Amino acid sequence: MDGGALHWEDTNTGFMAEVSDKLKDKITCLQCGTCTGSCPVAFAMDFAPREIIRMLQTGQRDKALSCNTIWVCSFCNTCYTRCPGGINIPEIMTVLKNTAMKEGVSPEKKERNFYLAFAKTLEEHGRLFEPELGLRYGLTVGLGRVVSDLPMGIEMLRHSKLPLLPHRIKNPKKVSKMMTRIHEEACE
Amino acid sequence: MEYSYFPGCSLEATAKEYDMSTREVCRALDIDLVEIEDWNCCGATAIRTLSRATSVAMPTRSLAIAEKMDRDVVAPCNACFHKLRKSAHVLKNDKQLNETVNRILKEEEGLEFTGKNRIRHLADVFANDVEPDVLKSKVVKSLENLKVAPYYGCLIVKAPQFMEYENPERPMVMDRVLESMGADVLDFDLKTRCCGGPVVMTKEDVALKLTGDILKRAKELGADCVAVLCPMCHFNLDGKQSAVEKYLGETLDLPILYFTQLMGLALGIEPKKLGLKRNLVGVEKIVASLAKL
Repeated sequence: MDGGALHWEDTNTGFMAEVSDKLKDKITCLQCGTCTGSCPVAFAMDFAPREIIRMLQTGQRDKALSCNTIWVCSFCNTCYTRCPGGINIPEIMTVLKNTAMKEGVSPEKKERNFYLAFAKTLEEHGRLFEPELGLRYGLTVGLGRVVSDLPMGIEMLRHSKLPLLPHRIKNPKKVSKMMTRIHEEACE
Repeated sequence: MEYSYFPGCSLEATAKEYDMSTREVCRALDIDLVEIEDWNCCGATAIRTLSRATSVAMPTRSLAIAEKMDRDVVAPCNACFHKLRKSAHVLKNDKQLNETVNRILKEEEGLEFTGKNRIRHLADVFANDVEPDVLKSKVVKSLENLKVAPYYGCLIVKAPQFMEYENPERPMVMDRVLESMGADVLDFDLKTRCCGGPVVMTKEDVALKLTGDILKRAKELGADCVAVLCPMCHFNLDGKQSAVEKYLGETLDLPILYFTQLMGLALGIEPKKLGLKRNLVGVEKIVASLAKL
């Protein structure tokens, strides 16, 4: 890929090429650090956003996929908004999350379970049934989590904020299969 | 004025009051919201972790259904709005994915997405399609004694690449609407600071800290309440407020209202119809302060 002088390519591992191919965009990062300076959750990250891009440039694939950064990112898009190079950093985080999920290298089991529980409720109903997501996810974390969430659940029930029945689309199974087909044919 | 309405999953569940107040306010302003038939979940910020193609295809299906009509699509939820707009943006630029998604939508459900309809946030509609004078003329109870901190969150404006309708750091659409209705809208410097919505289930401490910063700042500025326009923001600022109080070790007791609930009160709509009992932090003193005017 011809990325010009800014597109530092790690020729040994091809990690940069792997990510930018999936992103379908060049990652012309100057390492200015605007992303890190703008990130509201950098305080909770193993490595700040700028360092993740540096890992792409230097081919540190394992490190990028196994740090907590990609899971702490709250997808607020502030970095993308401010990046002078217009680099879609939240989408880079998404590419890395996809890869980490697929390869099972993420140390963040909670996240994995949350996203799988989310997908499962959509598969069933075509729309998100929030109480079911809470329960499905809670149970993967452990009974303790479900118990600790109970007071909030009761408070929400008291305020009629929890529906008891899901809203379904006409044919959730069909739509779910269609989405799987799109996923497969888009070669992800 | 007719719009295709994409309520989103939260508005059928934990954010029912946002849906109720949205419909009531639109009725009062002669805005027809026609719900998109058989719309599906936009995938929110979660599905992209499993599949980027699916994450784009999910909102596209609903947009394709909406294309049977030539109307702007309106979404009240920031995440839905962001996902709908982002999908349209991605498909405009990624011809290969566009071909795949459209081919399969057509084969499976006879649908086609061209991107012909504009995608709007509800606050943008109130700010730009309704004359401020009209808003003002419909006010029955003025909000003038109310100091409101307008909190937008992130996804309503952030990524300027496909959010060209507003300033990505200092949006004003909600400020303008509430000001037209008489509210004392504060210059809230954290109006687009992240509340941690997408990570509240998995990294709760991170979300509590972010939400705490926002709530504390609103208090410092003397806000009587915070106005929001996203169910995820509302869940954190209102639903998690007691957890934030424990985390901070201080009492906040700051009512968090959907901006449509405030609009509804100003329009004289009964609190019950605006779902005000569903807000976890009590809003009685807000309602009472209006009644006294």
